[in-house]
Amino acid sequence: ARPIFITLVLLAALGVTSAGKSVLVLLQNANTADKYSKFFGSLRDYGFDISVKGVKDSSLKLKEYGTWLYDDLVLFAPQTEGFGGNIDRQGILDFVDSGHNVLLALNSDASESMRNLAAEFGVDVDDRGSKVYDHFNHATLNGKEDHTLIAGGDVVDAPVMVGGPYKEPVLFRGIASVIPGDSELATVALGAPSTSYSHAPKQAMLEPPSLMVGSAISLVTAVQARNNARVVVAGSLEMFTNDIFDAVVTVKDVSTHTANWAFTVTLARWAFQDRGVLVASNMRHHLLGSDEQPWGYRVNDDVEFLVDIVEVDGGVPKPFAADDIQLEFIMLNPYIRQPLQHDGNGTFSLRFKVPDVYGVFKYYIDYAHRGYSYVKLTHQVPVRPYKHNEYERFLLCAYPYYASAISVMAGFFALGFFYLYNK
Amino acid sequence: MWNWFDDRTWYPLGRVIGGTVYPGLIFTAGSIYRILHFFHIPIHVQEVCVLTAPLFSAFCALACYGLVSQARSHGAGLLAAFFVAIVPSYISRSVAGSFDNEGVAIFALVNVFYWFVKTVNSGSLADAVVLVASYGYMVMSWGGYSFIINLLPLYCLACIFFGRLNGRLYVAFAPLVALGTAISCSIPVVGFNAVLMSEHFGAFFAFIVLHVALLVSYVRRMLSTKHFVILASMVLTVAIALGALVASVVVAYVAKSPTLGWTGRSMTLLDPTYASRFVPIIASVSEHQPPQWSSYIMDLHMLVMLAPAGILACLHRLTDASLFLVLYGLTAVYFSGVMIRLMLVLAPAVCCLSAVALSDLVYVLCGSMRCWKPRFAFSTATTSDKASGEGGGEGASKASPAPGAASSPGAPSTKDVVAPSTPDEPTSVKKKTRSKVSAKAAASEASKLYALPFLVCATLLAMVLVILGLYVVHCIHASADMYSSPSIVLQSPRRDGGYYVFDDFREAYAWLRHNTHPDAKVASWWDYGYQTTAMANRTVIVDNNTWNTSHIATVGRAMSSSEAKAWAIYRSLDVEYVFVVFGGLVGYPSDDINKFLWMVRIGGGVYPEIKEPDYLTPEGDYRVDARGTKTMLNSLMYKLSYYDFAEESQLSTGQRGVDRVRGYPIGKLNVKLNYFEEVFTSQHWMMRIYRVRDRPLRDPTSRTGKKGKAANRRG
Repeated sequence: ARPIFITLVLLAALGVTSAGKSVLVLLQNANTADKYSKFFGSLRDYGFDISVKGVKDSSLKLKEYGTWLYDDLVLFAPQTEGFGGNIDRQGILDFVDSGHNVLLALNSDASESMRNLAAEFGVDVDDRGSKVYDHFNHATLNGKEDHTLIAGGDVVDAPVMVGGPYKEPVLFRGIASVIPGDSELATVALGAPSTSYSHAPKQAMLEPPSLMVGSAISLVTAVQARNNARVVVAGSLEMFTNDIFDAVVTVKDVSTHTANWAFTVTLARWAFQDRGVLVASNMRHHLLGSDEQPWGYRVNDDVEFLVDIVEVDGGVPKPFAADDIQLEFIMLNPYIRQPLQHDGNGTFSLRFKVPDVYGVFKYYIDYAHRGYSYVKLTHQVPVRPYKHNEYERFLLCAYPYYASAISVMAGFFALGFFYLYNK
Repeated sequence: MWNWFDDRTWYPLGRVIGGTVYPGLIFTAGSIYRILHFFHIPIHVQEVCVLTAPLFSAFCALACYGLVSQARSHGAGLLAAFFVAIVPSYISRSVAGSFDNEGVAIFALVNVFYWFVKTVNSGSLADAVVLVASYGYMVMSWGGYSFIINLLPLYCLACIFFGRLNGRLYVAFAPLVALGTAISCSIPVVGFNAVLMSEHFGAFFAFIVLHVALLVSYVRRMLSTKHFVILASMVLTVAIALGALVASVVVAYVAKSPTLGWTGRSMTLLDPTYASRFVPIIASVSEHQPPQWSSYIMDLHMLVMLAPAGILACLHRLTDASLFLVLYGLTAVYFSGVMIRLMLVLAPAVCCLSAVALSDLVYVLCGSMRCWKPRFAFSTATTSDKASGEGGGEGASKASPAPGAASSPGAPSTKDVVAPSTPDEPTSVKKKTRSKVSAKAAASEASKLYALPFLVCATLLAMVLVILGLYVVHCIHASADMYSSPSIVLQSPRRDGGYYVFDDFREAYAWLRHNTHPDAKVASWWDYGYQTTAMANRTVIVDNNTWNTSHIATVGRAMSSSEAKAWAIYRSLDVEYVFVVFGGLVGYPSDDINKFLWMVRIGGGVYPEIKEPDYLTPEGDYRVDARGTKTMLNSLMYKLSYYDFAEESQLSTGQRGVDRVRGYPIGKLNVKLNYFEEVFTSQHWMMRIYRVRDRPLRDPTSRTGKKGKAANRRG
């Protein structure tokens, strides 16, 4: 019952927030907001209520009287070591842990506190002063060839997260980061080209060279925490600026526009849970041929499981369609693991036969598709054995036993009869 | 109840109640409740449950009276009823509020014996029917029915061996085996075990032997001796050949199973070292340990001394019934020596034997006293003299009237014994002639008339009375001291005469009941399973109905693993809360640390990566101090028990980290928990409840150096 409750709460929260989520943007200097006006303007067009403040503003606070004042936080202040007002690192972590989202942009001079903040989300940012270089896939902007302006970035194949596919390149100039190989929550939204590497030119090269190279580097990382809070760590602050949005660059002798505007805005909408949010509701199950939900089942019953899943996009729910949502029926081990069928209207269902094992089973859906919020449902349902009067009355294989029992009775009767009356 | 599937215990396996519980007790209490309500007596079901055990202890006294009356005399029967009514061993299960299988099962046991002996004495089919019914009730009530189904065949074989075979025995035994097996098959918890397990083979074997013996005696009567010998040799050769064939099949079947077809508990009885070697879960129960000598005195008091005398008295004047009493006593003594729990089976046996001994003694004494007053009781003198001679052990006749206590001379029960039951049986004919001879002998011996001096008699009688008085005093003391307080609330005497009460268990269960989600799963060692179910009303993983060893082993494995591993195990079982019982702060010795080795053994029995030597010091000691092994000090049990213990012990006792049960400082003072968090600790720290943490919402990464990053790269 709890997952349903949570999803209902989530749905209610979405219902409220779609009216206009409030976003707090912290800049190094509040006067530089014009540099990002196109980015913010697009977000405002999508209904976000954006308030821009300087990171050292003494009136800053995320929470007042136990209520979060903002739904999302944008940190465009990579160099800052501390925050003004009541915000600190722990405050931001609590903000995320209570289900809110953070968009964090860094650059090569990002401060230690920003790196530590990124590390809290599972993103390991490279050392201060290092930059991503690529001598092959870089762009020429305004006639100036710059090997740190990466243009061949590898946009993740998840349209719900980043939009696309893009014909134009996504420009990037900034710092590299890595995510641990066993990370379950982080996704590389923009990967580095395989010819790139990360290096701090002012530092001596280690011998032998130990560089972060190629696809090991994540340029933009999207993290979705287990409570569906989302965090985006972008290694480049510059990629959000109007200059890059409007730039016409030359990549490999081809002149082209950039895809940064669409990419960053889509990614920000994803980060702010405006896209790719799945809401599961109305989980129900019943015996085939009956509509009411029973307390439990008997072994070998035929049952049907249904759940409604909608995808909320821009506050508007629409039926979700996917073939890879699996339902498990678990008691210690999954006895059944099968994909759910959907009917196009957002109702997912599966008919199956309860296994011939009794115990306390649970329905279990753990759907973690890249770009979508997690759907995790459990529902406990006991499966009981046959009652003593539910077995078959006569078994074919037992006929010899019936015969022997009846013959003994008949023989006893005959013997008794003769013994008594046949003197 | 047959069909009740309990989904609140043994998560996630659930438990089929009908198939894992002996239904006798529940049916009994339920029927009493229904009957009383049918007569519009409004009594609450809890009151019925509380009073069921005392009621059945009264019935048990009646059954003992009947058994000894059948075996000896009404006087002895009265004494037996008196003994069994207050014997401390049985009081432990029959106090008001004890709602345990044994509460009704001991009555059922004695009842079966009563009807068996009665049937053997009377040879009546009606009695045999009641016997089968009472056996059915016994099977319903307790797993101890296998004691009966082995004792009765033993008795049957002994009768055949001693040449006491007769038709009455057949009437008593044959229907019991046939119908009794059919009845036990229809009790779900026994089911096909009644024909498949080796415990029951003895009954079938005796059944066959009984038939063969009867057939042989029949044939012997039909033929002349010469023909009989020829026939016997022919039949024997064929029988040996056939028998070898059958035996090889049976042996092959039995040898297929590792325990030779015996259940673990029965193997423990046959081979006392079996459980500690192979089935730690049986050995881990304190009730399954061999008892100490002192517990015999504590539970039985003077009956221990009287019982051997009773065996002698029974053997002196051996009747079918007294032979049964002797066998019952001897086997029960053996079994009680293996398992402390079977003291319960021993208690009625000892009571009956003691009653026989004491009644004989009192009879001799009273008879002697009567001799000194022939003037006052001249008319009865002759009979009493004769009887007193027998009471002294002179007469060996079974045909003579059994000596009653002074209140009932000339017991009428002997009528059955005297009456030649089935005249066409040679054995009983023989017996008849023998009894005639012995009756003559007894009469001549009685004329010798020797009696004890009056003073000796009076002194001895007074001593008997004193002993009886001491017995009563002891029993009252034992029941008041040991069995009158609930085991869930502990108390210790204070200096001012009052009691200091430790109510930690109820406190913690109440916390669980009020502060956790109703669907939360609570894990603990299985000892506390029933309590958690009943008092905290939460789903448990394992409980006292230890029907699934591997599930218990999983919990034992979690407790003996490191924290991270235990966390994974508990998460896979959906456990939200874990509690441990800890006595180190107040000195409560039966806590989980002291039980921990059993968890290791039980866990290791199923999961070989848990090895007992890892938890013992190199010298083989079990210690949790600085000499304890690393595995021990890192186990979840250690951590959950001693989390924050150092500070608390410093505050409360001033000795930092000194465990008051073990009596030494613990090995690792600074215990940190990463995967569990403490949510509740009771007043005296006897119960500590922890919550299994959820997975973290985020996975923070540690910031690595440049070198590490290159090595750690993705893809």
